[in-house]
Amino acid sequence: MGMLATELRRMWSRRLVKLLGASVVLAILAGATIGFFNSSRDTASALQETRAQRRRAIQECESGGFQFPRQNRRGFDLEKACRRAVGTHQAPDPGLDYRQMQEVLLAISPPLAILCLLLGASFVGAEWQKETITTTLTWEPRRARLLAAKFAAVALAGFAFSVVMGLVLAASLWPVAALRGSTSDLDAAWLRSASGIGLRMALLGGLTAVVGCAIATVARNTTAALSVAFLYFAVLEGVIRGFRPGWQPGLLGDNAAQSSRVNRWVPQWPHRRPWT
Amino acid sequence: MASQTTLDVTVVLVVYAAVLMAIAMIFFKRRDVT
Repeated sequence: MGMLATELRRMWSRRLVKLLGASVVLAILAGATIGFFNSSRDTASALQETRAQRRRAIQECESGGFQFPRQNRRGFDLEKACRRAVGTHQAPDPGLDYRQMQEVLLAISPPLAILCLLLGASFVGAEWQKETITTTLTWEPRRARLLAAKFAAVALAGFAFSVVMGLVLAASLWPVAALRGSTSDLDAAWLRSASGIGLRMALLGGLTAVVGCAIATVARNTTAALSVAFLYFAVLEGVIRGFRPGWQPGLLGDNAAQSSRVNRWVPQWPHRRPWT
Repeated sequence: MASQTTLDVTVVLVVYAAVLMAIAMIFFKRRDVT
């Protein structure tokens, strides 16, 4: 436990953690500000704009902008045909609905996982590059215990980083929805579902941090670890997807991308194992 | 992919992490750091 606490303190004292945390918070606040100015509760003007768009489309059609079949022109009513061709337009909701928070969480899950991989890789890579690992091993020569403590520390750090960023996102979008959108229909089922997505996102963050840490332990360098990760995810998995699509459910990248999205513990009947 | 459950995905991810940790542990234990 003492070793884990030491590793966690070392993680907390790193500049990269603070820099990444501050960058993500700034990006979230910028996104929330843009969302605030792009949202509104004025549904009347959105409806008006949609009606105007539909009118313009019908006018364009009536002035010959649309191509209709040239046979059987007898009894052809251009205005009616244009109205049918243009169809009905649905006015988009101009306000931010807080129920969409789940989709936003799903969208930020992959970038957060990549940042956690960077955190994990840099945590060990820096120790090898600065050669502080020799000092650490003098203090704790039992290597298995030391590495296990490092893995536990990066897993907890990745988990905590994702949880904090998810909470910052939820808190920063709340005023946008409250002032410029809707916060209604947020029942217990929605909260359970959103918490589930957040939890899976945080678990994925912890896991990718461990993956980054493991690769950096072998590579002994942050850059090398990130290069290996990039080559694996972007090149090797791409090649496998192309040549062996049936192996896709067993790939790390695909499962990582799916992990926040899947929400069934039990398979639905009739169930087919994904790799058969 | 649509038929995958949380259990399927979790098992695959945990196996990957465990294998990578085991490889890292082997390398770390055998490496000369002096």
